[in-house]
Amino acid sequence: MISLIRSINSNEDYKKRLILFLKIFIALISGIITILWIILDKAELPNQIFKMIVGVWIMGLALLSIPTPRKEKLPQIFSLVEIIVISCLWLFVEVESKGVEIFMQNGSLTLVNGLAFSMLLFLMTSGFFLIFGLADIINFAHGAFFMLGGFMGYEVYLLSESFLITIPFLGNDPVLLSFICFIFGLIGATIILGLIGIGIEVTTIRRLFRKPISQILLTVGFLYIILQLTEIIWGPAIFTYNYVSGSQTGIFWLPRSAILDLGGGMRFEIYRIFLILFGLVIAIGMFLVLSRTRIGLIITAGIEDPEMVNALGIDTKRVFTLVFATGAAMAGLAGAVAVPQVNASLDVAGNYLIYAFIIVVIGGAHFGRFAGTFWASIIVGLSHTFCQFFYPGLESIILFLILLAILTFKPGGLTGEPM
Amino acid sequence: MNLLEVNDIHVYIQSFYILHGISFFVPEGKTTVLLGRNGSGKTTAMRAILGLNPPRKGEIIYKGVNIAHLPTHKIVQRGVGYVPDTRRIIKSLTVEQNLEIALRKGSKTYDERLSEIFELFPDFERFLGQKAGSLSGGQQQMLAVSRALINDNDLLLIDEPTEGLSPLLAKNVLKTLHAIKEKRKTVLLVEQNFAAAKSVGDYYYIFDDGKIAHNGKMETLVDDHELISRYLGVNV
Repeated sequence: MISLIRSINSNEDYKKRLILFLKIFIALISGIITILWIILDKAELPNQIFKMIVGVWIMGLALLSIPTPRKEKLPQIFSLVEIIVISCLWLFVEVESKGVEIFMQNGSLTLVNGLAFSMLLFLMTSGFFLIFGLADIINFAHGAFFMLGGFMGYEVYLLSESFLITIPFLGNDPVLLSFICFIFGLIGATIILGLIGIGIEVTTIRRLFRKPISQILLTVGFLYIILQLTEIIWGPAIFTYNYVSGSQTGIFWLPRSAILDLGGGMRFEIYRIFLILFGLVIAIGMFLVLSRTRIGLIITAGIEDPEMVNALGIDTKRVFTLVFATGAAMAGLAGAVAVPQVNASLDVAGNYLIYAFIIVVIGGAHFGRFAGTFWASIIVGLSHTFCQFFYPGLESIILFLILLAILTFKPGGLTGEPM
Repeated sequence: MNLLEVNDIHVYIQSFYILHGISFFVPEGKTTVLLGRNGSGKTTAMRAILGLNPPRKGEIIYKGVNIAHLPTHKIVQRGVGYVPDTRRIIKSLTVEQNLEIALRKGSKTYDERLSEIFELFPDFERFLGQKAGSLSGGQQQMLAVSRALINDNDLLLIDEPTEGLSPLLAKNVLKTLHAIKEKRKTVLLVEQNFAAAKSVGDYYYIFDDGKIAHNGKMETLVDDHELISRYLGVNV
């Protein structure tokens, strides 16, 4: 075994051949197992086995993202054909067993829910990516920023409601009042978290530049401080706009019961559609800022080579502060916009931090690009929701299987370079 | 008159003592070359001037002001252009975007400065919209030099511009250095290629193990075969 490892390390050709062999092997095995799974599906194999098989199928999917030299196109073509065939078979089995109408209903509902979840993840993770990409800071407090954004948005909502309700035309129209208060809540949470970000960066993070261990300890410290302070202030309560406690009208402009009915059983929560559009608008806005404005170009350049950007006469410390504040503000915005969907509670801090880590690694953390984070959010959001719907129980492991595949075959993620 | 005076600087990188109290001068309008074997401290000296590895002791006087402990961006904003040894262009941006982020406010407009660069590199216009990472080694070097020339810098720090280039491309780079010299720009050049150094240099400093072993006018060094062979490992 040791001699095999040595020979792999010493012989580049051998290493390449071994990787090529592994790629073909995994693609082949995943293909065979998946076809078997589809055939045996009707025989009702135990659910656990399905889960394992889908995992292997996902490994096959991951093979597609592997860049191979021109001479090694075979595994990619093989994977592509395999995935098309398997997808067609899967579609056929699903449609056959459940009927076209049920399948369309389930598929479209899952797609909308998945995209809404993806956009939520993207809003939260974009700030995490910028902070990590530019300043190499792994911000463990990011999940807490997200959670705090939810509480802040909620508080600003109630505060602005208590002021605006006195204005006659708003007082008479609780839906419009709720909408305006919600927008105030989003803006408020964004600004407050941005200011918290500036405070944390200027007073502490800046002093620990290029000291990753200290930064991790510091941001973990902030995570716990924010969690405990939140618990002291708001208690262990879960806030939701479906029952707006403390609201004078008790009406939310877009409750979860608001449904868009397209007929044929295709019914979607309007708030999820709002989330998709909102996320897309923010994504396009951020993409334009990063690719068209000078500050955006500086941030992009800073992610690639911060020292050189500094040597071009740019004060990178100020750029770091701006990016940290923007990252925190984006987390605040995401937290506030998420509350009607996921509620404001202490739990979301830890749960969503894990998503941020997974997305940044899949998208490409080191020298990665912003687009990588966007597509990784889509992959994570969709695969999580699809599994939740079609293969319940698998959603908790599917993300780690994708992560495993990416780290094994493309360690730099979709757009980055290996560390 | 000296544009830059480096007086007795001591530079450490982490706990390693790299520059042991070196001093040198860069006269205005001239090209001063730092020579020496690999690891002798030339690049560190350049990074010390830029504030990327600031000296623990000593002075760096630029235009009469001690800049030794100023942050890098403030030093650069005083009119210092830097062409690093590994080019370090921003690969994910286009050529034009690379120039845009390097641009600082000044007397000339962006278009005027761009046309000056096109004079120096006529081919450059074609590459403006191309991603910098897709350029060849020679083109990347052109971009790295252009990035320093896009501003009206008084001092250019150019670190091993011919490193890793084919003889033909190295010749082109040398031509550029001559063109810069003709414009009477003040240049501090680090160069391993002795033939290139002697053709553009006015003054030289030979670095040896973090100290300055020898210095003088370039024309005197050209005749000193023993010195060249001892410190630079070149047989003339």
